[in-house]
Amino acid sequence: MRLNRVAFFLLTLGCFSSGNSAEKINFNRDIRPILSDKCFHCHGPDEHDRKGHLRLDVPHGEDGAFRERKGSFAIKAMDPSKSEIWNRIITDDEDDVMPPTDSTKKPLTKKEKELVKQWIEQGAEWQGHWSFNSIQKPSLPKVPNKFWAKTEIDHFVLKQLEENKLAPTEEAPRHKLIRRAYLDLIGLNPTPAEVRAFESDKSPNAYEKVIDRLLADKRYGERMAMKWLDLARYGDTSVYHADGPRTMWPWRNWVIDAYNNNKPFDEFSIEQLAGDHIPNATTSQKMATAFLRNNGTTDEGGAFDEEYRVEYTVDRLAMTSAVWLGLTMECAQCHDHKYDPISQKEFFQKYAFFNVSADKGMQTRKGNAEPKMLVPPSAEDKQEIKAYEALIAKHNIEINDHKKANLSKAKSWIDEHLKKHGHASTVEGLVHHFPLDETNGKEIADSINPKAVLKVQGRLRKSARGKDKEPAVKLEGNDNYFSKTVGEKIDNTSHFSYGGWVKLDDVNGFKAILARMDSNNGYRGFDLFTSKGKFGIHLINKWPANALKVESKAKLKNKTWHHVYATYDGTNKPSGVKLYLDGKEVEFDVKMDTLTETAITKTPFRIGRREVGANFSGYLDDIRIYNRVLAKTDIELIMKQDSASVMFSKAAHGSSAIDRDYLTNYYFTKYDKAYAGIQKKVDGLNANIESITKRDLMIMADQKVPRKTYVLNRGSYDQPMKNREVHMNTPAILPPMTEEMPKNRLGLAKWIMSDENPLTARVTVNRYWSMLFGKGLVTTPADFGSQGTWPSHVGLLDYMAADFRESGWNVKRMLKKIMMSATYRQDSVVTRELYSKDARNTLLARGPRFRLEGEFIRDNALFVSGLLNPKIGGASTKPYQPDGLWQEVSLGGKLKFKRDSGDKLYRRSMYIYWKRSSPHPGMTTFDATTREKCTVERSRTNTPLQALVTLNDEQFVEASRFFAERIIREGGNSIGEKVDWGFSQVTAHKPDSKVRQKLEAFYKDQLKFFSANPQNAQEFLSIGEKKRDDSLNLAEHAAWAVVAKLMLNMDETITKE
Amino acid sequence: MNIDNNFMANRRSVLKGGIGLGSMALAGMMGSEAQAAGKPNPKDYMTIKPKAKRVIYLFMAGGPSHIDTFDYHPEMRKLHGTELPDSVRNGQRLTGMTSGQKSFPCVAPMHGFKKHGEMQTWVSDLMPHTAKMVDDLTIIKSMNTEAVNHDPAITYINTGSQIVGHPSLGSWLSYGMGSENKDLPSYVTMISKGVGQTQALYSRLWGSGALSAKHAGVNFRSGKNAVLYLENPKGITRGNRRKMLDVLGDVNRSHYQNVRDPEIEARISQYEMAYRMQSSVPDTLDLDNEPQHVLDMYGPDVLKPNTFANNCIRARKMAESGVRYIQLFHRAWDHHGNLPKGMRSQCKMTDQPCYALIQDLKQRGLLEDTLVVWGGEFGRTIYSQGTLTKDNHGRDHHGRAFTYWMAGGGVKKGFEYGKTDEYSYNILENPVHIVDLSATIMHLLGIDHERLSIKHQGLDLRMTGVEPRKVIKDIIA
Repeated sequence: MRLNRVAFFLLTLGCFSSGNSAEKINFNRDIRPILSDKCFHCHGPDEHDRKGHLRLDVPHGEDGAFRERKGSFAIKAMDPSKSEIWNRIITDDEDDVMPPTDSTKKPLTKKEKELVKQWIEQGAEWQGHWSFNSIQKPSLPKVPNKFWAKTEIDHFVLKQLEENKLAPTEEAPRHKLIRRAYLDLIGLNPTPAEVRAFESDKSPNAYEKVIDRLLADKRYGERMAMKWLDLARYGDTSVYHADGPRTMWPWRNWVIDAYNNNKPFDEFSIEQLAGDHIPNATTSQKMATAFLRNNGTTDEGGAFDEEYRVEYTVDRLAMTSAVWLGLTMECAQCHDHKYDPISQKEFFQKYAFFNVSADKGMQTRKGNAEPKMLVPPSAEDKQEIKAYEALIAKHNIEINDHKKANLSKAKSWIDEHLKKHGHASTVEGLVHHFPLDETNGKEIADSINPKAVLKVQGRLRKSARGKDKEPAVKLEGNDNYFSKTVGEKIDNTSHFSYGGWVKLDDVNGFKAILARMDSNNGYRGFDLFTSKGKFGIHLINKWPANALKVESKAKLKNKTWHHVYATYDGTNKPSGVKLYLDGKEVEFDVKMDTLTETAITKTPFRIGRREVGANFSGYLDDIRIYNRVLAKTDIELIMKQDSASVMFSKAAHGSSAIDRDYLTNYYFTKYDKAYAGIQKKVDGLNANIESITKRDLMIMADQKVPRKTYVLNRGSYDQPMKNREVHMNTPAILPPMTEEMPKNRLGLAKWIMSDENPLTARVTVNRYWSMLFGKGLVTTPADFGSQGTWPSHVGLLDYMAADFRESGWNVKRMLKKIMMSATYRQDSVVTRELYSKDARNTLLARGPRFRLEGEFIRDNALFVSGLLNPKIGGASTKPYQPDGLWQEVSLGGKLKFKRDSGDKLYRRSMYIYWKRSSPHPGMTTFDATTREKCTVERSRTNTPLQALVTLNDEQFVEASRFFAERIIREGGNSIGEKVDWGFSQVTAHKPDSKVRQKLEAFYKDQLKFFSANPQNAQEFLSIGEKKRDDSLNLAEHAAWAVVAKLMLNMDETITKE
Repeated sequence: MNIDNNFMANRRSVLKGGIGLGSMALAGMMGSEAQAAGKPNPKDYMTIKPKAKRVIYLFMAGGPSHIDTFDYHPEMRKLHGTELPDSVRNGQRLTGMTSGQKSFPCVAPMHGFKKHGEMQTWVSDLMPHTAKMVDDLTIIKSMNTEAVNHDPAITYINTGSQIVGHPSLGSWLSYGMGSENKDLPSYVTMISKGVGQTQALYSRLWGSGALSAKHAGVNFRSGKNAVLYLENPKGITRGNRRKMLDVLGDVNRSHYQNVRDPEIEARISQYEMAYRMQSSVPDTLDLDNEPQHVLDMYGPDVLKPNTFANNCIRARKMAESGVRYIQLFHRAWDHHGNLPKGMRSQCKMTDQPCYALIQDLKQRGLLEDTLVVWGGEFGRTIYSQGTLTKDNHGRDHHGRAFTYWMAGGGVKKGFEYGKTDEYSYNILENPVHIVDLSATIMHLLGIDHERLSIKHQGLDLRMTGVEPRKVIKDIIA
């Protein structure tokens, strides 16, 4: 904005503090910014790019600003004409002038030149960069108008106002003040009743009571956490490549609790940075370190592990520096810092703290990657589990009762089938039969050979085949079932047949249905495989020199059950093999025909993979092995048999005992719908319990054997300079680590929070200030280095920083102190005169006024409409958003956003599921960032797209409908009363009479419209999941909903003022 | 004083109920900003005579094979099936997908190539339409990038850095040049998808990083109401909305009388802008009045939503309406396997619309100041990924050399630049780094890429980063 620019311009030139030219120049305020911007690039800390052996970022030393060389001085105090820098700035000579004409740096302005000249004339007094100096608590400035001051803060503000001949604005009216405090501390409006109570409270500490109450409100923790999520780059997905889901919200709960418990900021910081290193660390302290694991991670197939591991390490270092130190370290990854005294070596010394982390570069596209911990169930979780268990117990009784009542049905079914199958022909030669009917457990039964149990590796996943829902299993690539005593005799000279039912989700890839094959010994053994949809077998002595491989020409269809069999006659030849697909013999290609020797191996038999590799993903059922060459008619018969019928026929033929318990269960599972229905419920409840008890969280851990850290040449992951090993340390410009600080992350965290550290306290209070006032005293909150801005109130910043530190890093106390100040309590109205002098409110002659974050705009719409779900903490939820946004960008284009329903639609916006490749558009439109990286401060824009969100988004349309219901029910009798009531919900005060009249007239106009157009009313009131109260008059409801929508869109509604 | 007058002008225009020019300029199309970190001053960086006013970037996401499209060497036929010599590979890092492969057999394209146009440029038979227009194109065969995986590569080429979070090229142009049309965003993206493996996209690819969020690309969806939340709720007519905005404006103006924060004026104008967008966006995208012969030119998919053809004609309409930077993402070029089939299908979907777009722009006299850019995040390897059979193979990612074409907007016509070896593996002459391309695009628009910068976290943040980058002046007409 033009006005802002002018004011800003004046301000940076120190015009506010200096009316006459003889005023003392302040090096840090006036001169360092000029040198940093125009000179440091070539005359700064970066040794590599330094020109003319001159650096202007330090006063002394061989290259320092005051150095003498061949009788000439770069800077000669009191004497500009003998100062080379002055001469080079003002020269007309194009070859000599600084900054050089061919650089991208602009020449100094007239005013800047004047400042440099005056500074030299006044003695060229040098100061170290202000933010690197230790924090000294300044004494309170003396001010004439001290009656205005309510806290120490006001003395500093008033001093500068008086110097600039400005007066503070009077205190905001109470309704404004309480709304400001509510929005700042809990992110929600006060209710009109709360406003009235405050307005009528005549006690001298009425305002303080409000602040205390809000600081004790549990919603305070949510509000503060929301800010922290930006810094912590919190997300519910992994960012890179697939951007898959992860579970990090238990850490978010930790943050909310920490703020609510007023955990001192030093503990809050140390636990998140190094909770795992704290001696006898508690579960909570370990959970806190999830903070460092919020970085994006990759799962891209071709990615280089080390490249990403280095990227995560840099991210952690950069984020830590930005959040606590207000230092930008990234650029020192590749070269010495251009502006701040941080060398590349120092970058890697700090990098070393994070370089020993145990997490890998390649992580997962689904769920959490190691290292992780189980999250202990909360009290709420335990209650939930109890409720599930009670239901399960109830269902189990139902199951038992049901079984008892229907046992005779099962018995007669068994008897009937026994009779039937007794007459059926059986297929001789069956040695193993795995029906794969198990529903859970760790073992797979062989229905005819109880000893040949397979052990489950991975998980047993239940599935079903065909319209009869024949029980079957699903394997997800890492699941297999194995035994040493199956198939040990199958050889190149033996006769055998094997196969079963197969369904593939993805025909691509090479998958072993069954195998007994030693991948480490020339692949000796046998298998039955699918390969890009085709199927076949191997019989191998040593691949490829002594092996047989055939592969069908026909292909299995994707997502279709197929019956797949192979038979072999012991001749070593392809001609001895037959392949059957769905009962029909199929042709095959001979891929290898060199077999002459044995295929016997000691490795176990497996369903689902070879000894190594060929992992199967898909579905399997009814796998059998026969010790003879089956005929086509045999295979046709097998196809028709379900797993029970095998047992029946075996039993009828007397070759095995019948397992009545198994068959009873089989009957119930398969043929009794009522039973299956209850069992399904139990399964669901068990899964719910598991989702709680198995919930984990990614946390920090260091390697057992820590890797060494080398400076990386130009910051490149694959160019470690082995002759430049570095060790954990902090930058030399800041006070050193002490003896008590171990050389690990804990030491680093303690160093960050040590009293000697000049940055942490300043940076942190500046952020709090920014949260309340809309911008910091330092307007570059992520950069307190020499390119950062000079604080508008340097004394105030130092005072608060010292005070914060002395208070034991008491966050609530700090916020209260600021909010109790007269400065904060000022009205935010601005006169034209004041605006023209200080458009950006740098001098704080008025209260803050700025648009709310998108989260709070939505929260307040839900709040006033009575829809807001007050639950605090927990998993992220997926409220309304336009269709197709995830699909449009997701890997493979398949990932669909599935909206939640019910209460979850109305949770506070900080819980919106944060998919970082496609975050919620309602939030990003209001400047929320993707949170792929740490965001210290969001931009604050004012765009037409924002208007479209609050006008047309389903969430807001539904909210205005429910806001209208409340207006109709609770708003009083007359239209005027209703308008007043609604208006005060969103603004904390009644409208003036002119506005009231306008809104009344608008209501009447809309009522007329909707009375004449009931169809429109009906449509408008049907938007959103929650149904409207049909007892309300349709046209009135619609008309009020439009008025409510207007109220939700008023500038005042979406602005804190 | 100037400040005061300006202030009054704004106020008066708002109080009169109209939206005056003052507040329009104040607001800009995509919004004003309360905490402006200083506005850019075009005098600082628009120091070059512009040849183009806008860009249409046809981004082929997934990495189309340069070997199977443009970068053909007849010698490849002889190399087919032979092992890629180590001397050619020369230590190049391979992705994790083929680094374990034991054999690297070279593959010649499994379709024909012919020479076209005055310069006798090789073009694949899969792109008969593109072949017709080679005399309008500058084809750069020496593009290169260090990245060899999708996520870093696509982030790099769109934002100038492999590290996420940097502003995209489009957002830089929005920041540096503003909009030609106040009723439309200055940076629009559109997405379409072919058949086969589609790699992910990320909103960061059109994000604004440290620039104000208002410069981020606005992703247009299919259909006329392409902007999210553009349509009024069901049951609310345009008349309803107009009345509501009038009253809302009155209420806001009344509040302004008390508070006097100019941000309120900006808000009023943004609501009016939103209202105008509700008609200007559908009007811009309306294809009902396109003559049949123009529609036909784009091919059978032209009216099918979410197709490349449909997005191309929409791109032309936006260019006509003055959108500064229009970026189409067409997905599914990632041919690790089944490349011959995949290329046939992708080319079929994109070849004709590309041609039509250029002709359409040309016929309207728009090609002169519209720069059209075609290409992906990298190319593909000469060697086969997976087994090479008679009629099938795949190719892995290849960043060391790949091909782009550009047209209009001040680039040479019928010009080839850069050259690779007969393996299309290494660049023999005139390498063009992907960031050089960005520098060149900016140059054609009149921007000195070294001077368009913002201060961010202690750095002068630029689209083209800190490494020295060059404008490829040889391709400029």
